[in-house]
Amino acid sequence: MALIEVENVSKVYRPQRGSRVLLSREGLKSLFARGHETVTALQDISFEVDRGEAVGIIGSNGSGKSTLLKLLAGVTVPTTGRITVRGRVASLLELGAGFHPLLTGRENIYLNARIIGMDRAHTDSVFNQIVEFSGIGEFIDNPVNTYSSGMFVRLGFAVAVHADPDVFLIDEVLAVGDEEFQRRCRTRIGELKEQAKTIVFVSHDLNIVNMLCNRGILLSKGRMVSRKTPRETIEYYLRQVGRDTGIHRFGAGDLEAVFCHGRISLFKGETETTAPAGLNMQVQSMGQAHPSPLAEWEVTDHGPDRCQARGRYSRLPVTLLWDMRVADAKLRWRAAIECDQETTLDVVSGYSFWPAAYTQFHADLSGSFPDIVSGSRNWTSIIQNAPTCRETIAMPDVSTTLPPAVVRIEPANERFTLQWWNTDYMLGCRALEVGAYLPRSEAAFAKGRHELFTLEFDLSLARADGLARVEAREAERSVTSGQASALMHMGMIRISQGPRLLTSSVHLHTQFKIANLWNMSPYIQWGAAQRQGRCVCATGDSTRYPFRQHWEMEPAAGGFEFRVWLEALEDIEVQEYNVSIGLDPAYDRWETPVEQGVFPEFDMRQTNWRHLNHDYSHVPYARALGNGLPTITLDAAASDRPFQMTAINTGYHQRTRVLQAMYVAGADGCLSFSKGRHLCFRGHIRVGA
Amino acid sequence: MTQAFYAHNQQGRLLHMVPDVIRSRGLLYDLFWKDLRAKYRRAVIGLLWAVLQPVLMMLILTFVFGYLLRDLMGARIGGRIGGAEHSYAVFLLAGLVPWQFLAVGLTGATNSIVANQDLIKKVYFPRETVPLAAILYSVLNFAIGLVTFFVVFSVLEGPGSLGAGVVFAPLVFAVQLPLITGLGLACSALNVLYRDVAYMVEVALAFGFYATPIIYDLPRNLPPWLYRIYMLNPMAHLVEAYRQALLMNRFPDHAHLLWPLATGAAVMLLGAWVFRRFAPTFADHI
Repeated sequence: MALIEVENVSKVYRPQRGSRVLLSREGLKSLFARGHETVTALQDISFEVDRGEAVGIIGSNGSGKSTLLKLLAGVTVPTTGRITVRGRVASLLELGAGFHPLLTGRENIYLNARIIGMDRAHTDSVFNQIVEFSGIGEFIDNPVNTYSSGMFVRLGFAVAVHADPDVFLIDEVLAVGDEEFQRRCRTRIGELKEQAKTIVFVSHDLNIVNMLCNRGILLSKGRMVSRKTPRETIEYYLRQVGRDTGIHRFGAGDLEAVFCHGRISLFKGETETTAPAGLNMQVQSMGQAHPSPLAEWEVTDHGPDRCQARGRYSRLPVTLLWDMRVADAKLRWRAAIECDQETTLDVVSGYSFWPAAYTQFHADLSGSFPDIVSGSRNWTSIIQNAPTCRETIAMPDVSTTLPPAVVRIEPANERFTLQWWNTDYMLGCRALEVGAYLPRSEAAFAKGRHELFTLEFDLSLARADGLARVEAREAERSVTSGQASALMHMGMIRISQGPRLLTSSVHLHTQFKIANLWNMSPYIQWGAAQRQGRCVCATGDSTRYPFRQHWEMEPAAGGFEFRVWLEALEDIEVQEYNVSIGLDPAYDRWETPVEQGVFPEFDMRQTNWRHLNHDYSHVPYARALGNGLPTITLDAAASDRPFQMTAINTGYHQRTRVLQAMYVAGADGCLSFSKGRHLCFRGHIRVGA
Repeated sequence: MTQAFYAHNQQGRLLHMVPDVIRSRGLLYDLFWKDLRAKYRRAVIGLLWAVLQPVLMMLILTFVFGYLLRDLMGARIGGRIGGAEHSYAVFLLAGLVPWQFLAVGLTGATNSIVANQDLIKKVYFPRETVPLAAILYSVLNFAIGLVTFFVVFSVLEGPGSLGAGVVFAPLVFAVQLPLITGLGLACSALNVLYRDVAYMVEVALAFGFYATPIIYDLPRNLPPWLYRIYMLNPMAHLVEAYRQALLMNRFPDHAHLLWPLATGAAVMLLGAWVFRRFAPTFADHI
């Protein structure tokens, strides 16, 4: 028997009786007049939900979603028709409802649990779990009016999910609380689904509906339009509900874009190529993120191949201005903002979300996206590109029909960089962020219009062409020697043999200790790497001290020759410097001409780097060995200076073996570099025996 | 497995009220405690106010009507009952305690639904529990008042004056309770639709205070037609019944119990019907 039966339900709202004011112009007449204009929120809705089913209700604002959920929760009753619910219902639409501000967290847990139908014994048995899940900790005996709004909602959510009801009703809870909490909610909802709980879910986040639900119910102006699979429902929703003011569908050739309330979805032929979260924007002000779908959108101008829209934030004096156009099988999306008054925006980002079937990325670097781990709550940064990087390609898995996605950016200022992310498990897709993280000095946006970026999405590339382009681009920045190759990227050099990446985490990098501060090469500002003959070079500027590094990498017998030049812009004193190579943890032994040992297992408690050798005499090389791996040798014999060679285990979270050639200034403490260019290191990295 | 029908003709049923309330007695109790604790949470002496407030209130009224006004007007307004002379304070308290029961219960219940709108708008639970919790609070108030009465009574007239009234007074309470509950239910529901109700209740209570023999004795010397109208007020009967029980230690006259019992039953049915009629859609109107 179905757990929820909704039979021919309609809901009509009449104007509130109390709102008829006798003293108004209508006067007495209004009190007795019949047939006031009524609002039909729902009309003739029928469906059933079985045990263990997850049903998503979607629809635009005012389509009756929330009314339907209220009816299911029993908060109000249908005007006609009837709803039967078998079992206990917990609605997550009442997070913290009934919390009395003056009572303590503990008292409120018991009260709230009682209101949603738990008896005292049940509450006792889950009390500790509730407290733990909410993360309220010792504040549990403080009145809840001392809680932050986040704590308040967390506590409400914790009570609701521990009520162990038969049916969960969830209404946009994910839109409240901080990001961490939202992730926690999503994970928890995923768990409920895995426990075969019945879930009815209302959300603007089509992606979650798609992930979570077996079935989608589409509401449009109070009527039920469709109820097929969630994916079909969502596509139908995006494509058909086109006359709405906040929605426009446009395209040319086989590329079609749908703009829908601050979100753009891309279709090539019949397939949706973007993930359901589509393309959207987000600005962050005072640490608070404002995603574009939360703005009030209005399509200001449109044509068959173009769309212009304005989205006004209700909580920021900022309007988003989007200009979208499809031409030559490409979507050009120009984004600007208009500030009503001076506004501080710390981060301005454009996002594009791509299905997890896109498995490889190519920008400055190529690589494969790691799998998104089940239950993962955090976004993982996959690759942050140099500011000079203006194009990236996402390659789909061979088994799909998705086209390679080429994204180009024309930013209005140099702060915008491209960054690929793996999203959390619930969203389950790849995200490309075009983000400007603005320093305080640049975060103030004056009144008026500001251009942000233009993004171009090109889905017309054939797979083979895409691959060829990627290889060509990488070849510019890498050198090969036999099977081995070295790729220079942003202050680090990745060394691989064939497809196997040998370095890890920090890769090959340098560190200079100046005034007791370590300057690591990945943290200085690097320009793009360039090829000069056999050699690949790059230059990085320190933003902190007046120096610059020039790197040169070229093939040599058995590996590569690596040269590091320090260009002092004025006289500078260096206490210590080194060239280090971070290696895959599968390397388990090391040796120098005078000593040898093993790399021990990583210890959870270890956070610092730990030197493994005892002998610090000047020797020419150190090497790392691992079963089935080519031996890596860091050889500084070609340098003018004598180096000390060490083997190091990093801390637990980096889990990398390191070979380091270090140069420590003598007893007087400092090594002076006069203004000009100095060769600091010249050595070889040999790959293989 | 519980099965709930969300349809107007189901939730609106009067007969469901009793099982609904019995099933949610735990919630009723919790809501009552919530009100009580939340009310006095920030006060230094906390829950003691629940006792102190009605006691002080009655002491003030006793002082004003028993001493100030009496001396001012130079006349006695009551004090003699059943031939025996009682101190005015005792006489007044015997009427004031049941009146405060009505006043506190009715005011609390009338505002209860609107005051708990956050809850009503978001969660389903038997709505009756909210006004009933408010009435429960007035019962507590009444109990404290009654104890105060006994204390004052035994202090002013000696402990020997306490008698069978201790048993008969709760009997009168049992007659008064449905009256207040019925009124409370009706007013709390109507107040959701028209907020005017709360103000009307206030005015009616102010009028009722003087139209009930609290500060004076039953006005037997009124013209008969007016006296008959006066005695339509069930509270007049109830106050008189309380006085007979408490001050004369005897079973109250049947006449003073039957009329309030009849009106109480009618009001209770009507109130429950009104409440059930509107309760399912409270959330739409708040």
